[in-house]
Amino acid sequence: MSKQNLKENNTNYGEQFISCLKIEWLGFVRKKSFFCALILYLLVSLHFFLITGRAPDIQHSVYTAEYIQVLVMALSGAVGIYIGGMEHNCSYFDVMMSFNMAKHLKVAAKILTAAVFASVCYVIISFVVVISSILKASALCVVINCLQFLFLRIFFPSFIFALVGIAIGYQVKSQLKYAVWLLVTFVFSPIFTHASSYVFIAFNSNSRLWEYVLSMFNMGSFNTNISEVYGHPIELPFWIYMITVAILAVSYCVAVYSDRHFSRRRHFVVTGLFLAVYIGGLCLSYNPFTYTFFVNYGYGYKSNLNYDEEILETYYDNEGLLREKDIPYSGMDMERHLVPSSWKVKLTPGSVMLGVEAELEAVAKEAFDWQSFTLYHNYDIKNISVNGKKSDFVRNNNYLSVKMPKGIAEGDTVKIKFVYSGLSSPTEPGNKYVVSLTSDFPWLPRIGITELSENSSVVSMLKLYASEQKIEDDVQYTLYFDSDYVVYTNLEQTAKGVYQGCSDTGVTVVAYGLQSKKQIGDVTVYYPASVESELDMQIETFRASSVSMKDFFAFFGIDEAAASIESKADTIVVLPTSFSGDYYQTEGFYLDNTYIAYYSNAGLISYIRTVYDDLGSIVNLDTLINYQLSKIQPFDNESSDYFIKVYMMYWYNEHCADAIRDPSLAQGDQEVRLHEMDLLKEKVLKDSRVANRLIYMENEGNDEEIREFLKDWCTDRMSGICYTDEELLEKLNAAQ
Amino acid sequence: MESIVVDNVTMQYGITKALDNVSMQINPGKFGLVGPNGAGKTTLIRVLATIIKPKCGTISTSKISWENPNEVRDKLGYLPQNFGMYPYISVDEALNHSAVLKGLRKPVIPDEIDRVLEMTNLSEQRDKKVKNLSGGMVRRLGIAQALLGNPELIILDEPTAGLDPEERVRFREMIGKIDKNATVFISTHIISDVETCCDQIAFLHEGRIIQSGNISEILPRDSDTLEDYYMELIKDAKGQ
Repeated sequence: MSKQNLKENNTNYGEQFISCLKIEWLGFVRKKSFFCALILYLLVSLHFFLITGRAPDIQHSVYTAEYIQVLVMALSGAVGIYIGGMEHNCSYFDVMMSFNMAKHLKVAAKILTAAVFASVCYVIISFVVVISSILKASALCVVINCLQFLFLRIFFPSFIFALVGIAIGYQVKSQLKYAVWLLVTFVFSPIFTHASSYVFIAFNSNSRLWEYVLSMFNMGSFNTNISEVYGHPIELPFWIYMITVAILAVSYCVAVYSDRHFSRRRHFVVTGLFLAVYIGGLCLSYNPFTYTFFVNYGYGYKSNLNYDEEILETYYDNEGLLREKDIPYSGMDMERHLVPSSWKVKLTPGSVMLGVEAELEAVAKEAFDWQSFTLYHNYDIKNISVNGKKSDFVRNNNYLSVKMPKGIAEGDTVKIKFVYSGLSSPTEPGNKYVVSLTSDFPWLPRIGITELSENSSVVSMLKLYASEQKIEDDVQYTLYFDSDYVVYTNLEQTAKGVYQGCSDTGVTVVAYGLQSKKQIGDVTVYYPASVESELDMQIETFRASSVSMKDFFAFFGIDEAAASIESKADTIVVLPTSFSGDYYQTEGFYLDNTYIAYYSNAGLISYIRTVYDDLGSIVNLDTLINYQLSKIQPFDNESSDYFIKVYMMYWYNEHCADAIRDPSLAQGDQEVRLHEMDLLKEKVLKDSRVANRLIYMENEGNDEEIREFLKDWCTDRMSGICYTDEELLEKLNAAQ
Repeated sequence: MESIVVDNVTMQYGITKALDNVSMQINPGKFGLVGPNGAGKTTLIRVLATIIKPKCGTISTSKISWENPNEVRDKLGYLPQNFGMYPYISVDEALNHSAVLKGLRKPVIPDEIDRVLEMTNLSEQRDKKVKNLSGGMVRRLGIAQALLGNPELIILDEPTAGLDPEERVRFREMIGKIDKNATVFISTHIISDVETCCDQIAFLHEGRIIQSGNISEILPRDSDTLEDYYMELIKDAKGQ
């Protein structure tokens, strides 16, 4: 046989690739430990199903899948290590591969092997989940969920982890690699999530460093509710995590395969790069802008609300009243020993955190050692000083107890300075983009143990009123707050950035900016800059939905509802709202030709719903309130306080809307804006006698009379009696 | 294969010259490269195997140049110093994989595998997994894969390192079976291997060729063995 006949004239890469793949698989499946691991894994999975799959609902399948996901990834990584580790026995191929394309084919074969393994796991898990759930839940529901959920949570992560495993297996030669992988799996697992969360809670930390460090380990990935156990509202979106890890894994593999013969130094450099990419990805995903975006306008409300609700359920009864006996005061003195006379408060909202320096001047009612305060649990206290000297303090959730210096006697004046910062509540944000701190929320320390009303108040955003609840006797407040936006507060502005006044219901501060506008067809859309990335999606989704819904509604003969939002409005104003659609769906509404839409994470549903619900309504103040009333459950109607809050929210929006319509008001010099605001207010007051009367009643009228009137009015609405603005005005006058 | 002419090949790693103006002629037959550890043998082998390019100098035959590596690789069989193979596959599968990577035509692969297994005396072990082979057998497997496709140039880097005497004898017999027209280039620090297998030799010391040519021609009459001559050469080289 001649030598020439032995070889192909052209290299057959296809055959070479298949041969590489075959070799990878032959080595792979002949490892007995692989089958042992697979069987063990299936047994553990079954165990989880038996434990958690008891209740007949989809959620249990999902939660189980999260745990299984970690197991699958651990196994994928171990297999990856094995596949990568095979390299060490193949130095001949290293040399031969460098001759031709076969080197790349071999790497491709390894990656494909990892992918196939991930796919096999995916199919097995899907099968187990489906079978398990069919026995216990709605099969269709489970199947649909599994398909969308498991692909993201099982297949993709498994593939990525197998890649990382290959890289680790290649680098770490000894059996140590399995220990390394065990460690990696551990820090990525929910076990570590919960362990680290205890650390976070134990230190009561709002430190960004801690957050980075702990998030680095967890990456917010597998247990998507990890944020709540940290007590901060952000939930790292899954896609950010995935992209970060994918980049990480691919770059690591590329780095490893790019140079076959590493020196120790190069190993070190590659590992350093690995960590740098890891941390870099996290820092990018946690930068202030992203963070603020998700905190204020998107993800994470639910988590924090859950966290707060946990406290609420623990310490408050169904009526929202404090269960004082259940609070672990740890020896806190609950008495109010101080009578406040003045507060000086400096607000410095940062990119993410709210910074507060507050000085209380108060008079002692008697001699005492400790004074308790109520302060939102998320704020990290940096320093408390009493009469200029640093003082000890004890914190317990929302409660704070400050030690007084010795020798304080009745009538002594005490000056207590609080310095604290931290993430504010998602429903009471405080950062440079949005400040909405209302008086019924303890963003400022309150003397004594008082109710945390964050969750008991449904309407806690976009309100410009001080709490109905009297907190103190009249206290002199001085607020220092420089904002680029128009500031709404119940205090009078006395100088630039200075607000002063007396209040017995605390201080409310609201400031946010409509920084951007966009022309979409004939419609002008004003929106917070921070929702830019999602605005188009919102609009497009609405439009797409509008088209499909048109057919849907037409089927039922409802044409009116299918009209597009643009046909009704020439201006759309997107206001930030902290409501999570899962709990509270805030309705948008029209003011003349302006559609006020509320933006929130789950608000998309309510946004679209709102449009359909509202189209066709003839909007005036009465119908707005009437509309709102129709949404209120009978239970809520019994509370006139609630009703007043609802009404006040619309009152605020009506005033605000005029300012919003003119974009120049949201820019430029604050004084000019304020002047224009006054002019616009006058115009609004002139045009709206009803509003005028209501404002008058609010400022000058008798609270009891107003409540009585509104209660009657509410009853009329429920009886189907409607008023025009004119009739409403008459009623109001009569009530006065 | 035609004679290979190595002309002033220099290879440098940082400030260290691994090869310093190496020039020699490798004629068809068995060629032994001898030198102490660190002399630059593996570097020269890697240059010849087209794994690395020399910093300067040329290598060529009358028909091909090392400037075109693919032409050389087409005629090359290579056993690296640290030969390894997937442990969980059989000898047969390993050779099959090597044959595919070498680009052998599918129909000829089984016969080729039979041939090289016979040459290397591994026929009985063809179904054994690589992990179950002894060190000597693995080395023979390495040579077997290098012989696949009847290459015209066979480069063996330290083929007998770590082998027991019995295996080394077997290796020598095996080398003897290789086609007489092929060029077999063996790098080793064991002089006796070269003495028994090769008809040409080159002595490499600190990156330089201190002597090369046909063994029968360069070996002085007053030297009893090649090893004695080699020791003298090294001694002279160190003296200089």
